[in-house]
Amino acid sequence: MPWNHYNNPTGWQSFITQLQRQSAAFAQAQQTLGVPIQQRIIVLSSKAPEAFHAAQQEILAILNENYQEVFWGNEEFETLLQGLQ
Amino acid sequence: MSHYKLMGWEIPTCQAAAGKFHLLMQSLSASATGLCLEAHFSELELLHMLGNELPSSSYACYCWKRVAQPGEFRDSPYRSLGKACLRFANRELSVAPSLSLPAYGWDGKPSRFATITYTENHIAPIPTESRQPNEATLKVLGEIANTLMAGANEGDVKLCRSWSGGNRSDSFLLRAPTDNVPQFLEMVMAQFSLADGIASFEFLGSINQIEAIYRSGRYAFSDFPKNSWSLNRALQKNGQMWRAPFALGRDSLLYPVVNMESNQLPEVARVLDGMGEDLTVCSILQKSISWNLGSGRLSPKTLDNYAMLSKQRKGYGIFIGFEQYADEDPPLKEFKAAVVPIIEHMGAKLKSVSYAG
Repeated sequence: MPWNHYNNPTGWQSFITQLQRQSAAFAQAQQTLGVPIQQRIIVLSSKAPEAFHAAQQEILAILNENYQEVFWGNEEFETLLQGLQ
Repeated sequence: MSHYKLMGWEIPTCQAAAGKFHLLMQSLSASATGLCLEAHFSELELLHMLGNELPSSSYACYCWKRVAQPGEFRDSPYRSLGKACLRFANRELSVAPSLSLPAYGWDGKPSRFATITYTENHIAPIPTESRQPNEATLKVLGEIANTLMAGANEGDVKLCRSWSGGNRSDSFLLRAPTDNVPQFLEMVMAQFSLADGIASFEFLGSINQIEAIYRSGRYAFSDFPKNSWSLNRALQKNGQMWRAPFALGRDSLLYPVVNMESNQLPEVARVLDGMGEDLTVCSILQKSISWNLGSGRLSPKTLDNYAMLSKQRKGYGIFIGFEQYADEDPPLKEFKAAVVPIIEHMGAKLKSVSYAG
């Protein structure tokens, strides 16, 4: 997660654009496949540092709309995988 | 997507940038579309300066207040709420424009829908009875949706679970017409007994409406409390993150809305120059451009075919972007072959830029 980009507003916009694009790709994939993608999961490589709470909220607003499960940090995702075994 | 900065031009003012921008678009673009002006202001007086030249109902102010009860949302400012974030003990309520930008043929209009998100935060250790999202919450939100939107039900509520450090947040999302937002907020607050929260708002309106909100004394424009912040786009000022209290066209690269016509550009640029350093952010963007590729060939109006003039640390810069969305769209090579000779003839050069750096 490029938290340091938050201090570079233009870089941050670029990151958010990439997230928006990734989300839009779901709609396109669904159209191509002709079936809905039921479960969308995203794992973000790190939790937000304390000072970047506002940044986390901006990202989460986009993720909320496009995913069913969001994992902040690999540890969380590993816990999920262990639960599936 | 490919982004370029035009190098070799000294552009000291917005008026000079507007002149170059106009010439550039005449040569490179096949169609004239509306412009998206993004400007951030530190003082209300600056809004008045611009408002005389560019009347709009999309001027914005950023403020916060404590919210005690649901009835507050019947007041007039809430009818033109752009964004909101309300925080209560372990629950949150937020409002954001629901924008879905098409890959081609974007129309430049603002969204008439908003996404309302109600979030329940569960702190570790999470008790057994809270291991799953609360079905009663889903049911209540479905009923609220049904009351305000004919035919809506709990199937229209989208759920997203977010995990962090053993904690879990369950977010319930509803898409609703912007006109219904105040009623939604009131009903959600009442149904879930939300009280004594901290709320941060983006209000939209004409200059007079923004001034009325500012002078009402009901909202604070500085000293945001812990865990609350201005909803304006953050920018760097004197090495620190800062968010201006007033704006027009916030985040235009991400959420563009046409708010100005090309023929207004010279006069608007003159006013913007008059603001000097008090104008903290200024960019003018044209999106979804059909590029003239020569020999009568035109590119499709891909969303990230854009041209932008933007205030820099010193003077102004001009940027252009090209996007090949589908395989059958013209490739970057064709775009560059068409535009580079024209730009060089105008005394400038294209330099590839990355916005991630």
